[in-house]
Amino acid sequence: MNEQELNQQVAEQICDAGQWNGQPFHAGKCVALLDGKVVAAADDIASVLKVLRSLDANPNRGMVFEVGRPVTDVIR
Amino acid sequence: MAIVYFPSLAEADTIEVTFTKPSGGEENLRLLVDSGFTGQSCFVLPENADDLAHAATTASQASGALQGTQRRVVVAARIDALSFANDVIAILADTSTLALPAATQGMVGLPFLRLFRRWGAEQSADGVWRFFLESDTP
Repeated sequence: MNEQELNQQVAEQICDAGQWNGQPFHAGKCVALLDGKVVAAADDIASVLKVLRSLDANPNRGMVFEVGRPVTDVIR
Repeated sequence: MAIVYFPSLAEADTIEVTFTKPSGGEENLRLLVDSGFTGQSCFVLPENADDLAHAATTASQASGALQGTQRRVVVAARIDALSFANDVIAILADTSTLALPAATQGMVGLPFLRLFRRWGAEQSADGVWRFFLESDTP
């Protein structure tokens, strides 16, 4: 499993369960992951992205997402 | 309030968005406006637009003209005339299946339009259509 797959798996579990390793994550919270670990949580994507890039400047590493149920994108 | 106008194509409304690259450059893309594009993602951009991605975000499911699991990224979108800048989610996909007008490089959907106070299309006195975005910023 590569880093992106690991991050995707952790993000899905956080969105499903609303918690990770005992830490609660409420819907609407934005989270940054690096190597499958939570490295930031804040109210907006820009804030967690800033923390993520301070830890690893490579845009191909890490993941940011908003906690919540999956939303289907409908493209007509 | 600030308002910006974008000339419409004969067959569609479009807007121009500036994307800041993580490498420091930027790229202007003309995007087809589709208010029927709903969900969480703001844009569909070409799959080779990796250089615009500031980070990966969760993959999503899509239905309609795009189907199945879609790769998504965070992009930094700007419209300078409105002093608008925001980090939003874009789908990176094979846009050749979307039958986009020749002058456009992707699509912008309702989640992006709703970041603005008002949006829509209007016809000028001389019969020319244009699309507008309006924000609360002076």
